[in-house]
Amino acid sequence: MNAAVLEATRLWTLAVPTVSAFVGSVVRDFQARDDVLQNTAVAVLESFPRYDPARPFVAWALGVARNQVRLYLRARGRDRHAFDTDTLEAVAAAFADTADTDRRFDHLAGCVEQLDAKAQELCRLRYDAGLKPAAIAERLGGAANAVAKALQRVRDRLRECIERKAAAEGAP
Amino acid sequence: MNAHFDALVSAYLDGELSEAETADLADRLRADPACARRFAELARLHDRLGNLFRTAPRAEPAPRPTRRGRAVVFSFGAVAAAALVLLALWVSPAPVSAASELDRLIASSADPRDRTYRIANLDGAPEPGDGRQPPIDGARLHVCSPDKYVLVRTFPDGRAFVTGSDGERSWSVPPTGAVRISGDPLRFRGPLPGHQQGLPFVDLRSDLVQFRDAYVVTALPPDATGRRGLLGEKKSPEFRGARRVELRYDAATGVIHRMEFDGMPRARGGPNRVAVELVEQRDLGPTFFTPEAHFAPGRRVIEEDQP
Repeated sequence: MNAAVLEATRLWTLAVPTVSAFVGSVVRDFQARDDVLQNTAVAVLESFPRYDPARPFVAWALGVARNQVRLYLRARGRDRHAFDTDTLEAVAAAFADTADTDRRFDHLAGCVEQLDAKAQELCRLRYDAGLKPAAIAERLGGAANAVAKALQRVRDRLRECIERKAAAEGAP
Repeated sequence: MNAHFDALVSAYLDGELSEAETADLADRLRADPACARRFAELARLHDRLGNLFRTAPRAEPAPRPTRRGRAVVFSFGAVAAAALVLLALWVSPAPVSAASELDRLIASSADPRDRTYRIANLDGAPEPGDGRQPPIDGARLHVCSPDKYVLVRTFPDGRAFVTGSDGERSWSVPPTGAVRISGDPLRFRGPLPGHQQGLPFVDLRSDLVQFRDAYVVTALPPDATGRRGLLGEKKSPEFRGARRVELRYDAATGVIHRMEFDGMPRARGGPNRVAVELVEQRDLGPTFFTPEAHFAPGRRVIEEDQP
């Protein structure tokens, strides 16, 4: 096995959670996010000989991802709900700054298991079925606005749970 | 940071923000690094939830997410050799669930842009006709959800026969003779493929919902162009639809590019197998779906509902 490929793979594996979250924050459809992320993985491996090891790898990989996101947005055509280039840069910088907080999300699965059945079903419809609040409201009955607020409350609870568990073990 | 900002980001991640609200959020992300970091934190949770639930077992009524599949990519103790395997796992396409894909197509069908399709008769034999109705093969179907459409069929000599509906009226514009306009939006819908069978795909959203209910839907591997597919086999002969329906769609956008209907009931004639291919998506203008846009002034018009 080529040593450079092994090193690229090792670094990429550590960077994936942050890069995935960055791509997903702009490309909000999960299937499309996966496609952009695949293209990013390929581009990272292809460009790895140009990576300067003196720089943080995550920031460099986020730059590669930013280009792939731009290509995706350009291929999709004008989208008034998409971020412009300057915003993409600000968001990518924020993800790079907070990369060390990723580890705390390892507690997520345990926190989800503590949710009640109704909250878990809401998450399943949103994240497994990929439904937006209006479609969930259509499925469950009720107003889209109420579903959106319920989803936010569930995420707030999960965030609090993650922070509590991370603080208990002294994670950043 | 305040609760309002969190709510704004939450709505953004769920695709619920208006254009103006998205611009407001973007302004704040550019202007304030603390806002951008908070956004990153909330987006991380959103992304991890997506990974977690999409890799959870589906058979359980109440999912108990586990950290298998893609989730293991996030393990930090991976050694270099294992990392390569994990990378391969990561870049491999996720198994596609037909049910979730169909739900996604239903959500995507709310795209407000008008759609133009080309219709092809796949029977391999010319359609029998009486010369008064042009063939459906080669016709163009323009659709504006939920109920507006314009169907342009062409005779072999190039003359067009246009039928359509603006959602409240339907109308028929033959190459010669009187234009007919009816207050019944379904009056001239007969030539639409699938109309007699209950799945005309004019109101894409409701037809996809019906497709979900009346068909056993399975995912197909990507075709030569990389488009994902869904195959529907009719659950019961009591439903009037085609025996099989195949959809091909763009994985990134959820836009359906091709629909193929096989085994269509033929009690009232028409082809057995038809393909409907997306040509373009664009705004056709506010008057395109009105009858007046499709015939010259001075044509004789029969208002069928007039006493």
